[in-house]
Amino acid sequence: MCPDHIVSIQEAIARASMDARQDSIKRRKSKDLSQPAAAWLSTTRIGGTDGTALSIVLATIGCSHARGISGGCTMCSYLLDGSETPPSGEQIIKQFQNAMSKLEKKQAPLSVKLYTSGSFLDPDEVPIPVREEILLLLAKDERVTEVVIESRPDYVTSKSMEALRRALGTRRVEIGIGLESSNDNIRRLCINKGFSKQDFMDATRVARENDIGVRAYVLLKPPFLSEKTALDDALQTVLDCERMGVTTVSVNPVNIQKHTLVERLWHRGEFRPPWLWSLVELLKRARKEIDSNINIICDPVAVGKSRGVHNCGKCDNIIADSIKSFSLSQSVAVLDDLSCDCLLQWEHVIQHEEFSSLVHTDRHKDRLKSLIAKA
Amino acid sequence: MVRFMIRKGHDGPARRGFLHFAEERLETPALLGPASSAYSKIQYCTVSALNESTSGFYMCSTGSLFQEGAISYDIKRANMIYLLPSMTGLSAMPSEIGINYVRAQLPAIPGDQSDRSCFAIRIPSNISDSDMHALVELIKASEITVVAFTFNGENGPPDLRNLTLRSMLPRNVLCIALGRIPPSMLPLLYYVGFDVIDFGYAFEAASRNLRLWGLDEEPVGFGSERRYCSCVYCMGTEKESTDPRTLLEKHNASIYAQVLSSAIHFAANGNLRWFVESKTHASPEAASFLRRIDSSLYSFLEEFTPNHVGTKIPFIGTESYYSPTVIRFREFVARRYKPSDDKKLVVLFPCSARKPYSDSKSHRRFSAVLDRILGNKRDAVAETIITSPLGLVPRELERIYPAGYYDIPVTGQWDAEETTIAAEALVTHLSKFDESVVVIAHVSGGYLDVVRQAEVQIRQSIIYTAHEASPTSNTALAALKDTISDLLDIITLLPKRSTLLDTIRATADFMFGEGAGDCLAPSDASVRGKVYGSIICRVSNAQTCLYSGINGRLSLTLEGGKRLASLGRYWVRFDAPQIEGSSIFAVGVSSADTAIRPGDEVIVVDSNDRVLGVGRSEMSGQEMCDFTNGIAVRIRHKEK
Repeated sequence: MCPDHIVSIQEAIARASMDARQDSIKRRKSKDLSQPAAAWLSTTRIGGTDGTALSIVLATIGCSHARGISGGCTMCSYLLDGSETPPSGEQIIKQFQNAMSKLEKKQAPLSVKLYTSGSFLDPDEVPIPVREEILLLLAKDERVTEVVIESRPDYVTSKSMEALRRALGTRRVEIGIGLESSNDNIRRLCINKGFSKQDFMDATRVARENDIGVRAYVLLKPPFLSEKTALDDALQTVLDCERMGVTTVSVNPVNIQKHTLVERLWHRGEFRPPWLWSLVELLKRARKEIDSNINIICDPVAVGKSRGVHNCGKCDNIIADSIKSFSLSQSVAVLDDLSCDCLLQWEHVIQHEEFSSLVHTDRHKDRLKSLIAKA
Repeated sequence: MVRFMIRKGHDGPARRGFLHFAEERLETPALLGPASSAYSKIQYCTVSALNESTSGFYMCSTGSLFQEGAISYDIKRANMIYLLPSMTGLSAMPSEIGINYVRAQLPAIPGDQSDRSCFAIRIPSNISDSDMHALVELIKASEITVVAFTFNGENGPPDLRNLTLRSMLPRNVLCIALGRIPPSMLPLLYYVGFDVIDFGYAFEAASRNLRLWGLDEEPVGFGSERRYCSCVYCMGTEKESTDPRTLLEKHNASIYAQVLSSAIHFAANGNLRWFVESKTHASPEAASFLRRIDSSLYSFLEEFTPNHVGTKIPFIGTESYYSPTVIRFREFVARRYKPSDDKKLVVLFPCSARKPYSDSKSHRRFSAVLDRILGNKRDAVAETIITSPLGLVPRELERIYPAGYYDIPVTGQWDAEETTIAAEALVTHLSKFDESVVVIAHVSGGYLDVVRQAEVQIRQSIIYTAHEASPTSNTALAALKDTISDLLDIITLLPKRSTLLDTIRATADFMFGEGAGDCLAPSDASVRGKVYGSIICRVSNAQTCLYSGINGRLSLTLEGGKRLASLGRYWVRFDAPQIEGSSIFAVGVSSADTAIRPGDEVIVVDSNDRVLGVGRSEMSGQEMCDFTNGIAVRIRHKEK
């Protein structure tokens, strides 16, 4: 590929991504800054036994990449969970404490997942003294045996990793990084992610040196790719994750978030979220091909909805349940016997979309509905 | 080396041709589909899916623009076109991404590959006009022979944009239409010059339990009664398969084959446009799509539309009001027709179903009245026939295509659009006559409405002779007779027989533009013959042309060509001292008048503008310049 043209495409996509965001960041609603953006409990596997996980999304100023002039990622508007006026340090700690109160009556083992819709390690989002205070509070809770945080690789340094390990002692610690794709072209152009595979590998190495695991987020179906290319790329990424020393793979099918470039494409019939069949295929093949010590998890957003990963509408719930059970059991068997009429449609898309370069949207589904209504 | 050769064309931009590979050639237009279908004349595939035993023609996708590493290909493989890497979602993105995407495809061609003709470049719909011009230069310079567009089949702005971009390409590029293309859209794509058409939608539709038809799709398997179909797949008489889904796929695929073969058949007969118009009833979107194409791509469509076809041409729906043939006829009459100075009366008549009008019962009655009352002064009358959708036809041009060949549904009711079209034509027409000329409107009903609508813009006085009864009624004919006889007391008509000369002169102007009549048939020309037979025109004993009453057209003699050459129109420059044989080929044409349409009479000149011969063009003037193969002109007479 000729770099000049590719650079031009990249810049134009970044501008379009920025454009799609418009002033949504400035129009973020002011909220109670002593409450987290979200906090919820779920059942999860913690070191071989079932336990309770608390996921916390702290409301911060939001992801530096999305905030900045780079345009942010083409599919992500999580930073809209954040707040336009930055919360004070005390308020962030208060958010954390309020969320933790959900665990009051829970038994060990507990897992706490600390998200910010950005990077927990970014000092602009969570000032260092606040981070230290939160880690101290976590360290005091003996029930907590696992901590997961999220960060862009920029903030995964020896210093931050050593501090994290020191604060949390012997707990299992994992850091989630949005690798999305191991293909630099796809990550750079289609996603506008703003970091390279090398950046991710460096961050992984530093984390692992401090006995901190890396949870790689793998994106299924960024824009500008056909269903088939997207599936192949996600599978290749999972395989590469194993080689790069990742400890957990989290598969994330693209969903349509507000004020993103992907939403724009979707509105104009130029993007369709991935088929659940693609996701099933990916999970099955990935599980068979990589080391069984690496967990492959998947908890898709808006599954079965037009904005999320979906099939025809008839089989979505059953398949979603199977994927949930796969995430817990890591057993491919639960994905084996799925079937539906729409499988043929998906097979056609896999065969024809790459070739024709046409995004095979669901518009025909609506037309079919009206035809049947008439008949 | 892959070469595309256009064998025969011209019912609009549609053409038949061959895509020549090293040893075999693919006949176009051709359907492109999966290898599993017998209807796929060219099969799509991926490099990894190929095995040695596969035969036939292939189109191979080379993956995504974003994949890492070189694209894989097997250049030794015969009969293969490689589709350069894809990028989806572009129609919603700014133009600059589109152009950079196209430019990024070329370097994807492996560096060791000097022959680029087997790689098909993909052009997204979001390319701007100026970027497309640059791209055309790039395509010419890089030996790209095959270009692919992607249609979503919704007849919306992206699909229209594809057609506009396609119209800007060099003529000798093979064009592929990929995407979701319903059977009803196929004739249109063929009409606008697509040579290979993806019928993958047959299989998508089958996967959604849709049975395709020429015009619509039918959901099957939902308990409702199935429509009758006599194909072997629906009758269950095909031996190979009993699986309902496979049979549905085969039925759907067969519909494409059926529609395409019909389109080819109609193109050969000069009726492709009618077939395309008939498919616009598939949906309101399809109808508005053709109208948008007609208005935005007129000059492209018109360039390939012959001036003479010689078969009946039906104008049925409102789409035909703006078909290239019709618009061009109206323009030629408005711009090129010039009445002779001795016309003192204009009589407006309604059209007739029978062509030429003179052969119809009604016009024979009109003619009898004029003959009886005017006798040898009859040629002082400019007879003008009002009609839809051609607007109006001067009597002298009633035999020429399409005036002598069209057919319309006759109800006597005119819609507002056709009334306006005819009224505008009438205003323009009458502005060419002196103010003292009297206009007799021997029309009623919708024709009368046309004159009434035009009236305020007409300078001449108008007398209505049939406004109370049908023009063919005795009352109206008597009124016509009385009116003319009254007028004879006021205006003086010179006794003169000039029907033959008027016809030749008007036809010459119509075919070759203003001044042609003066060149070929000046007032001292000798004309002999019959309008309904043939007319020979001589100037100083040398024949200049022959008029045929069968098709209302002139054929030139060498003398006629020499006389006409001074106008600087309809010339083809041929780089040789003289013409050998009975035709000249595009490769020998150095330049040509871009006004030349397929089937036109043309004058072949050398580099010093010396006339070498006259003949009939086989392609448009632009094509003669662009093509390096094919017959450009069939020679009728040449300098020996």
